Amino acid sequence: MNSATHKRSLRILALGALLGAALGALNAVGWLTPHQQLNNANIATVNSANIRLLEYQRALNMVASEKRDAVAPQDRDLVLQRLIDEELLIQHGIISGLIRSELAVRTIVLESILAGIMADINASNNQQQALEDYVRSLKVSANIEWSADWVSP
Amino acid sequence: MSTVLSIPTCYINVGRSLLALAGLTIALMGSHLTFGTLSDNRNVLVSVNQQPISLQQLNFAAYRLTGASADTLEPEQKKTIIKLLIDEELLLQRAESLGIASADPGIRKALAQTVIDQTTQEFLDKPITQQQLQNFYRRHQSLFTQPLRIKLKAYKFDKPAKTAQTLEFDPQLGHQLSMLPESLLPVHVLQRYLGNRLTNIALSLQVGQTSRPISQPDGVYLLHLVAKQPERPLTFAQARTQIEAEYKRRGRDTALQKKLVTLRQQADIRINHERHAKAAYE
Repeated sequence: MNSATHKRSLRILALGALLGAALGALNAVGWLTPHQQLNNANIATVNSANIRLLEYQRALNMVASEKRDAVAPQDRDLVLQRLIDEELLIQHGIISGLIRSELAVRTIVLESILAGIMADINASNNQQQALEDYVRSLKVSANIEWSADWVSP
Repeated sequence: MSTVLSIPTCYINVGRSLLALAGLTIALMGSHLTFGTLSDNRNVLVSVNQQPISLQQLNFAAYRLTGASADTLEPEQKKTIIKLLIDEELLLQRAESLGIASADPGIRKALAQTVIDQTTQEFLDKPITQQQLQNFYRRHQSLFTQPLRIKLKAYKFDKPAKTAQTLEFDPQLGHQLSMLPESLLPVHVLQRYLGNRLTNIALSLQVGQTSRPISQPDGVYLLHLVAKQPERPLTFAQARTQIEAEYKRRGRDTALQKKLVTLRQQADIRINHERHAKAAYE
């Protein structure tokens, strides 16, 4: 490799490294992470999940209905902070895999998805068959790998 | 000469290797690959879109469905349960892809409650000694008192304040029913019935005294204090159940608050302050 080529390679390497460092820094400060727009329909976002203004107002109304005095600014802050806390707990639950590991949550999720599917295939004559077909269609596009000790049923 | 030149080259190569190693380590960390996952692989029966279904899950499902361990089942029964677990996993993945878990109110409630239960369970599992409760009682003795309770009659009139001010009111006549139950009530219950202003006025009355007509936006009120039971401290023995309940409640709260602080520190939270401020006037 001659000297000119070597220098060019080093420049490209340095440029690449600089670009990488700059992108990394931008990502670290959150500039590259897409954030949900805080429009007027939302009162807050928690890790890009929206807390809708309607939801906040509903919670506020519940508090107001239990109070005889007018809702104070502290009440409003408290309601908002509780909604944020709830969202944080839910996100933590999802990340922790509670949907699979906790039977109660797993059951509710399965019931919910099945209810949605059944609503979609309600018109079908044979619902059981339609559900089996639906699951079969999911299976077709899935990557199912069996352990060496087990044989696919 | 060549030996002198080869030393920096060697350093450069070592430096590059270290950088490459560091990059590889960061990449591995970023991939969420853990050694636990690798060691658990021997228990994995099948993976569905990289989501493992383990022997433990099979056993759990076998107990749930048949009341017996998977070991005791026939191969055909095992296969049926595994097929069911695969179907469930596919449906769970479908639910995830549709975002049902974060959108369905029932699931949200169950998720939040489960995280709270798990967070507080560690504290609740620890046995509580008598000494801990006694120390807690001593530190928070003011909590374990029977609060001030008053028996009050409250009457509401729709008449305008001007008329009510001239109203001759005799509670003995009982021409109108009191808004409150006929029992001694603690202050916080009174506040729920009457609000802060009327409660404060009620607390300033002497036993047997009737207030002046009190004009409120929804009508005119008259209050008559029937009886007053002052606050009195409870002994440790009297308050034993309350002390334990409060000790547990505070422990649960503290555990949950710690968890929330951690989650908040890791989260990106943005508040629409403009909307929040406006909402105060709507």
